[in-house]
Amino acid sequence: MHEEVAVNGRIKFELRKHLLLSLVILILVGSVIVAFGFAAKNLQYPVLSTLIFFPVVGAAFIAIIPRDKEELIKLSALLIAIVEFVLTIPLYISFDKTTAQMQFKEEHLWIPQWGIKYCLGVDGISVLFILLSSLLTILCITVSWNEIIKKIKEFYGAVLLTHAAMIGVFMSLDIFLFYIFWEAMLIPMYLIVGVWGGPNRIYAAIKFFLYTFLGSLLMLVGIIVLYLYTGTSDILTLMKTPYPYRMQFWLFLAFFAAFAVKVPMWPVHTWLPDAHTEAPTAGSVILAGILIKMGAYGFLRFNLPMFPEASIAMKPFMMILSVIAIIYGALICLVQKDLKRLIAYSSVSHMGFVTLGIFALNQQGIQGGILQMVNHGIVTGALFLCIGMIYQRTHTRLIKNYGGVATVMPAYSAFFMTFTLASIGLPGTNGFIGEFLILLGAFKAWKLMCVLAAIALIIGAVYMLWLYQRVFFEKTNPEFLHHIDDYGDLNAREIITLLPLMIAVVWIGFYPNALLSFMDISVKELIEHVRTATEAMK
Amino acid sequence: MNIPQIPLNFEALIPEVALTGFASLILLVGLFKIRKEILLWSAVLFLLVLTILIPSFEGKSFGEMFLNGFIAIYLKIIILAGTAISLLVLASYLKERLILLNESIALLLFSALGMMLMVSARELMSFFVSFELMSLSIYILAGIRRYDPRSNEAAIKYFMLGGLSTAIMLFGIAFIYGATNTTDFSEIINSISNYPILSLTGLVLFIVGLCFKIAIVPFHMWAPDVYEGSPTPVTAFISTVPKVAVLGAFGRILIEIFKSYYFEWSSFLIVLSILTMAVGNLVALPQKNIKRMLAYSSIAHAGYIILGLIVGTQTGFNAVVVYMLIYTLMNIGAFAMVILFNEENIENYKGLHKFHPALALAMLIFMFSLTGVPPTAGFIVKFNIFLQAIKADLTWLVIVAVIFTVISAYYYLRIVMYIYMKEPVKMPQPVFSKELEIAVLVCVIGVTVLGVLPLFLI
Repeated sequence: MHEEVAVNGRIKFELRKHLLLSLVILILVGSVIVAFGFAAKNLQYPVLSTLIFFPVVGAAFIAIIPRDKEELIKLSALLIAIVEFVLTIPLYISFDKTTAQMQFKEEHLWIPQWGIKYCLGVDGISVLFILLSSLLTILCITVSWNEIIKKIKEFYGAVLLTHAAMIGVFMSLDIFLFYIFWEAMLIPMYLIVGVWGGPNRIYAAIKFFLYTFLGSLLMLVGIIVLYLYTGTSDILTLMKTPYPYRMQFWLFLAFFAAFAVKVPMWPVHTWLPDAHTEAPTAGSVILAGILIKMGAYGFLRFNLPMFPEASIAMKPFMMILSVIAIIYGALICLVQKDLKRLIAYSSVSHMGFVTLGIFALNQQGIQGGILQMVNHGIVTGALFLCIGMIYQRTHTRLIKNYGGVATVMPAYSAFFMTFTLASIGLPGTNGFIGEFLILLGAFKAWKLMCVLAAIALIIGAVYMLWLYQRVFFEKTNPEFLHHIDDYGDLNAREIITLLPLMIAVVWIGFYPNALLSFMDISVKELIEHVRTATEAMK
Repeated sequence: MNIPQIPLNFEALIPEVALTGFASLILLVGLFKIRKEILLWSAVLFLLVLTILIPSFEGKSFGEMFLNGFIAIYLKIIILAGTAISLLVLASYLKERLILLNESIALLLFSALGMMLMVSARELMSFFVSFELMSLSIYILAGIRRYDPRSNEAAIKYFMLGGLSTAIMLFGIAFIYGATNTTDFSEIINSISNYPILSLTGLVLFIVGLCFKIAIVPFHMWAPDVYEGSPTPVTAFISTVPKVAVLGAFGRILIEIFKSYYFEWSSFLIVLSILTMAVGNLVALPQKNIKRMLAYSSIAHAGYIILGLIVGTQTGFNAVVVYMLIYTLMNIGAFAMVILFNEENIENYKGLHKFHPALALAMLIFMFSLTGVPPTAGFIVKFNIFLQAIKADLTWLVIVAVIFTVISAYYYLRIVMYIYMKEPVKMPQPVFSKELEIAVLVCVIGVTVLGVLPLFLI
């Protein structure tokens, strides 16, 4: 009798959740339609500022909701994230792909004493990351629905604030503003890892903070030197200014300190496995999806255009570091016992590809690098989401505890397989396009490095497929199967979370031009700029 | 002897005269049976009115002796506002412990008076007298908890070492007088190079005396003990507002008067600055008592601040002044949180977030601001100092400061970590009072709003 009541209650509960969910989807579809209507006209409102401040206001709104109304907090966070995503859509529709200029520019004087402006804008290099960040933020919220059970209010507030700061980084056209966003993001991220993470979370959070803080402060010194040399903090003006070679070299190193830690490049990558492993699923997704992209973005936005000669001089060094990261990350993956740690180290390897592409300093390499950043955000984000979902059922991340998952969770296995293949770079998935372009670029730049990186691709296939085999096939582990049985296969919320990413994987895999067309002109311009600046100097 | 006729011109001195009158009135009225709240709030109100009105009293008094210029007014605004906030913090603390309120208020006002005179002084004797007025009032405040041996110890230590340092400074002043035969700043500037040996000796002694007051290593030994032993609100006060005044006066004397000895004193200060940052930050790391930790943290901040003085220009000095404004806000704020939580042991801060999320957030903001992470105001002022130092080709020194900033992040974040990430070990017993809450709120708003909109820059 009691059991029946409980089951009834559970069904009712599930029903309510599904109702809520379909409501959310309805709102989503409805607002997409509205947004398209909006986009048909010219964008009259400051679209970029809206994107930054809407989640901040949202976080403030969540802060005033009473603590015990948990459902309301979660729902409003989800709604805010969805509306934010919808708000980004006009950006893509009105984006002019035929120009390398900054678009949707906004400019206000901010600190008159220093001539610092509040200046925003996007070009083909940065625009994709705004979409990616908004999308992943929604998924972070849906995946945390049942995972985060303490301090809910703070959690969703922190996620929204992190998102705001991250897209601020990609939009800033003033180097001072850029730095503010770059650092401000550390505060919520430190909390996300440290408060809601795994058993070793405090160590991971402090390590993450101190590593990035040291790198950032060295960049700050570089920023001040730049600012004093040119008398302006406007990024576009800074790009056009030629700097003496010696100065370029030191500034390159100062910015390198910040970006290399963030990417992370070997040998300053050691914060990443800890932070990724200990962070809650949403934290891992944000870290892997957007945060580490900011380092590579920094290379593209600052190091290449501002210090072109130093970039060319440092090219062999950077390529070697990248290849070391690729091979080293892949080899470490082979011996990992922890699911999340394995994916974290695979990030080191994949980001090595990104920096390899960027410092090949040619069209294919850089385009591949940017595409690979988006791909890595999608695929690794998805893999972390998958791991989060199964961890919630089994409460273990040790590979040896799994086995035979495919028989009990077929849908989950299919999703995981797709993402595994994308991570390996199978043709037909997005990973292939990015890695192919990067290898093409690297081949043009330095054949040996291309060959070494290509060999590492095989190791990539080895560790991912072996991981898949150990977790999903082989003998089943009855103890853990029991846990999975309690929950069953993926529920609707989880499938909805993974589906957009799966679509993106296949879509980009077959039609990469959807993304490449955004950055074509901007990358061409960047390459041209590097070349002319170097020639002018000689 | 022919005494020249100089215009007295009291106008610029009106705020100081008013403050003297008001402080004496508080002492007097306090003898009668009157509600202490009235005394407190009238004092706060008076300070606020003075803060608002003081820009209109620009000018000179007693010839050149007293100058109320732009920087002096800016400093006085910090001093008055800082004193008002400290007063709120102090009052709630004393009320609870039934300690004499009117005397404390009067002492606080008198020390503020000393500071105001000090930042305006253009003459060594009046500088010294106002310096003493400030110091003596603070010595008594440190021992205001008469029956607490720790408070007594702090007061005695502070008084003994303070007296020694004042003597050294006076000795330095005597040397300067001997070298230049005058105590007037504008005349000293002209004749400072006459007897370099005498002037330099005077300079070094003078710097030592002042370094003691702002707790620059190796003259910092008193600070942790005094900060720990004094009642927390008094600690909040002495770690911030007097430093504003001393640094304001100190900076002006170094930059204006000893301009011709720039190389000598700046190399001296570079060494002291590195030492201060190193000792302050490294010793703060293992501290178990939060007041002690904040004491070492303010030593470390003094190290960053004198970077701005080392620059040796007016803009560098301006950077120091604006740093002091934000430093005052965040440090008083942090100490006010310690009073609110009513807890000195860092271990007991574990899990506080669970009970008081709003307080935890305020503490988080202060800690990140002290570290210098944007978007808090602590970042803006630190950036300003670094900017000026790099402008003066001191990039290597800024890199040293940057490395120590990263080290400092560890102990500030440890507080955040305890509050947010650990499970509570003990039920906190915070002491709420509306005065304290107002003070914390003002500091939080100041630190965050000014961090996003830095309107205070000069």
